[in-house]
Amino acid sequence: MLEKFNLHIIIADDDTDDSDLMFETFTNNPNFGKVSLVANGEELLNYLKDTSKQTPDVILTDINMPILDGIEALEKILNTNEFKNIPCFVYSTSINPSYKEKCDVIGVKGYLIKPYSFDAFAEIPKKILSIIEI
Amino acid sequence: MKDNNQNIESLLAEIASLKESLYESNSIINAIKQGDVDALVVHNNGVPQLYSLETADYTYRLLIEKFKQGALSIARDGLILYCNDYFSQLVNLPSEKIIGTYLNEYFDNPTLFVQLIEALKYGINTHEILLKSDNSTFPAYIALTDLEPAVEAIGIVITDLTEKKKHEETIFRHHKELEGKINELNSTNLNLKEFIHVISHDLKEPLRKIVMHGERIDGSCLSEGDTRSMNVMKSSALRLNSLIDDLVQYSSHTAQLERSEVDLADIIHEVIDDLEIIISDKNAKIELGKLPVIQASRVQMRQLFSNLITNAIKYSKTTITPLIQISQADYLDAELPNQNTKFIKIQIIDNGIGMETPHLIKIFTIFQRLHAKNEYSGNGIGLAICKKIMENHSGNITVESTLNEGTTFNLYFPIL
Repeated sequence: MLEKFNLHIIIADDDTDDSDLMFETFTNNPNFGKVSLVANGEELLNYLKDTSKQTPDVILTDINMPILDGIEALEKILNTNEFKNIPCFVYSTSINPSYKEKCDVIGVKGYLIKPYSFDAFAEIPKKILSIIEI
Repeated sequence: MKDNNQNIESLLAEIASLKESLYESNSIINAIKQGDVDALVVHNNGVPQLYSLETADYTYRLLIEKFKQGALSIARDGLILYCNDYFSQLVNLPSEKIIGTYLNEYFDNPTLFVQLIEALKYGINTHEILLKSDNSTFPAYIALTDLEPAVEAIGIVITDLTEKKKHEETIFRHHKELEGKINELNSTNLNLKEFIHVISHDLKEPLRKIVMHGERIDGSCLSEGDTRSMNVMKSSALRLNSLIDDLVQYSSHTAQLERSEVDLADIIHEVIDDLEIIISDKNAKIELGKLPVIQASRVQMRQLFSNLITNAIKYSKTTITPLIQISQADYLDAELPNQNTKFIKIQIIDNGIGMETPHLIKIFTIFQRLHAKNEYSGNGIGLAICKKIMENHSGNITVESTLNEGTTFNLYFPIL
């Protein structure tokens, strides 16, 4: 069970418009103490492997990204003993049923849809917190 | 006196020869009676002529002789005692050259003969083998019948399988080709589905930002004209988004569906619950008659009736209470020509604005709308989806309508 306090989240998204917004949203949420940004799945993996960096408490990744996409990255992460207990979330513009299925198989905690309004973006940290609670 | 003696002598000789002929004839008759004779060879002026016996067996003999399969009788060691015309054609040798030879000489693998005889003991009497003809071989079906104890021989029937094998090979090839095509189609379908998801995703990403940032723009400092333009842009972006959603939905209803027993009455009740808001908004009444249980995709049935009921409510008159009647037609219909299958017919009858006949054929085509966009909402995909769903179920959807009186949709489900 995670302390619902001072959480460190890492967000992988190649779209800077969205990642900037996510950074802002999570920074504004009192439960998150640190927000790290990476631009694709490979950077996400490198960040996790880098021992000089603090291991994040939560992972949130976009799906369609260059070099290594979000699902491929999570597949590797969730297959690594060291990281497999980190709650992982996926967020994307649309739900592709085959992606959703893949996420369920590899043990992704939640599949979130990128919202169409700023207000709805603010709901994302709350949604993630409510899922981690369970 | 001498003349008399000569006469007597010649008469005696004649009697003797007649006696001999009589004896011969009697023995032949006896032999025939005992079944020892199949045919007679009579020398006429030194030319031998064969006479078969026209007894009751004659038909069978002729049948064996003439029928279009090889027939032989052989001794247990394979010595050929008899062969018919067709066998001699098959191996391309005159029958006199065949009789007296051994059957295994005509086998591609002569050692097989022993096995055939062995197998006969265990009641296995048919085999596929390769026979030789000139320098080539041909596939044949061989059937052995042990004629013992009646006759010390084995009866053999040989069927030329060359044509059959050719047909089989053709069918097999066609089958392979078809399989290939099916795989190709399946992968094309899969690619298309994937393509649609990718395209929709890529289209929606910028669209989402347009919508999101459009909402954020502070409208208070815009002129009246700019505000109007801003609103048009916002609503257009939302519309484009819903079009993309509908397209994805249209493409996701495929024929590869999971069928189960579906009670249409249950489905329609669920749909009515889902549509509660628009139904009560328009104060619409929905009457359900007798409805069947059919083999169908639950998801697609929900979508189908949801679209049809939504459609009926959307195109209802404002002056009277919208009434939608859904029921199974009592009779199995003859309206679908050239169809051997029997159908269950379900009708959705409304008292809405109706349509003019020339418009009817268009309504199932994707993106066809008969009304201006701002008059009635919708993307013109709903009925195209209905048509696709019916086709997925090997059924059909038809429409009848009278302008200002109402529309009837007929659904035909094949009885599986």
